[in-house]
Amino acid sequence: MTCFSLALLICVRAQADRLFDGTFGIDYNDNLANAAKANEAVGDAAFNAAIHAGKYWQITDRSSCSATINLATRRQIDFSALDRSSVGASINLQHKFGLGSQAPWLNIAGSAAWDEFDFSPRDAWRYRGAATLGRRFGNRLDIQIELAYEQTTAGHVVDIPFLVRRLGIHGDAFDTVDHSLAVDANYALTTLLTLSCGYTRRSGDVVSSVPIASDIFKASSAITPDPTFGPGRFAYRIDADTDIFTAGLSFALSEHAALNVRYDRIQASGHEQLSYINNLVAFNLTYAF
Amino acid sequence: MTLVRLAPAAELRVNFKADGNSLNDAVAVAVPLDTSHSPEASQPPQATVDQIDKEFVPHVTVVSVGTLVNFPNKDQIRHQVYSFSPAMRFELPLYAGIPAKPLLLDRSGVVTLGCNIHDWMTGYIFVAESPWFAKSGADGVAAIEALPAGRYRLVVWHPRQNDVSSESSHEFTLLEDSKVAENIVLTLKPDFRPRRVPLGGGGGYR
Repeated sequence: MTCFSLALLICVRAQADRLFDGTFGIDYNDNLANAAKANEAVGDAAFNAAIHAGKYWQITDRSSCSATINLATRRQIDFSALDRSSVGASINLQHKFGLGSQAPWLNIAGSAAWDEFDFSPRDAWRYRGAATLGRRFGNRLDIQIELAYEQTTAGHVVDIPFLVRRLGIHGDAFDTVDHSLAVDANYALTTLLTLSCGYTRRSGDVVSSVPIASDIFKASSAITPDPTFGPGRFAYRIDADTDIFTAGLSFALSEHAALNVRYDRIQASGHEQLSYINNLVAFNLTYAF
Repeated sequence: MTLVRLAPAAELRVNFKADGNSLNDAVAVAVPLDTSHSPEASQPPQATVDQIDKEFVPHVTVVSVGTLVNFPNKDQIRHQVYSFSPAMRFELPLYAGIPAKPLLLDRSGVVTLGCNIHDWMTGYIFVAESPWFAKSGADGVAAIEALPAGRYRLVVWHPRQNDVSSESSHEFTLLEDSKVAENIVLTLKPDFRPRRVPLGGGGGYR
């Protein structure tokens, strides 16, 4: 009997708990195009909704696993080419190193999703793997450290002129790979209100959609025509280091619902001194059954 | 619990308040200072702390020393109940249904309960050194009936009371067939514990 079938048998025999939660919200990004120049930056708001549904198995006293189907949709106010529907699945394995709410834990997660955009060249498979180590300190503070790998593989490769290909530049600008290290802390300000702060260092590909220019052309490893933000723009894939600073508040409306607000400041630095900043504000309501 | 009435009984009513409101789940224990007041029980008393919808029910349970406590799991999933409290350290293995053996609480004090699977689950068992105890309801009243006349020490406790290092207590005397009322005002601390509702975008186990 293989290890996989043994794990499957243990999961089937263990009593399963259901997982079901939904999130509905609105967010605003002041630089959707990831443009370095202020006059090329475009901002837009979007409504988004997501559902995670699945099962949870407590396999042993300390170890559990869960599997969910994830559905999400996103509707932009202005730039409808970024409207997106996603369907995917995720698996989580968690181990707690001891007894009690302050025992540290390790979570290994893997997910895959198909993102379908209104502008089909952006359609992509998105894969993510992450290892998260966390623990609570007292009744009010918990800290998590996550190491993650993410890859998107575009469903359509756009042809680019032969001469551009000769320069080593490809048409798969929406194929990206990155890895990141994140530290997040949550602190209960009151019994209902939780403050969250985080920092993420991400290294890997970013996509900037801007009018044609020599500096970004030289820095990019792939180019795709991208009329998402207007005619004459191209999507450039650039290797960049990105710092993400996050702050958020979560207000518990009940034991099952929470109202959340979050601010992200994203600072990306690529080759050829290409850098851009995003400010992202998000409000959402989460309900967990 | 079977109590033998030793003398014409008195009643003690303790009215609990906090922040001007009636206080639920507060514990009052009358500890006799005259040691001749010890009731005889025909068999060890028993109590039950359920697990329903991933919560301990009741949230606060009061028992006397020597009580056998059962922890039936009425959810369709498994729980793992534990306590780190000096009054009773224990860890039940992961289980569904009713554990094979009840737990004997043979030391007075507070037993704080947790579930290792669902970190937000918190419950309390107050193990009283006396068989005369009561827990307040929504009206804030804890009524201890059938008390023999005599001198007592009143011990009060609440899981959120500010001074957790010691239970509040003071002495009083009960006359035969008397009814005595005590008013207790407690200051409470916030009930910080792991949140059940997910932070941010959800996607976790609750």
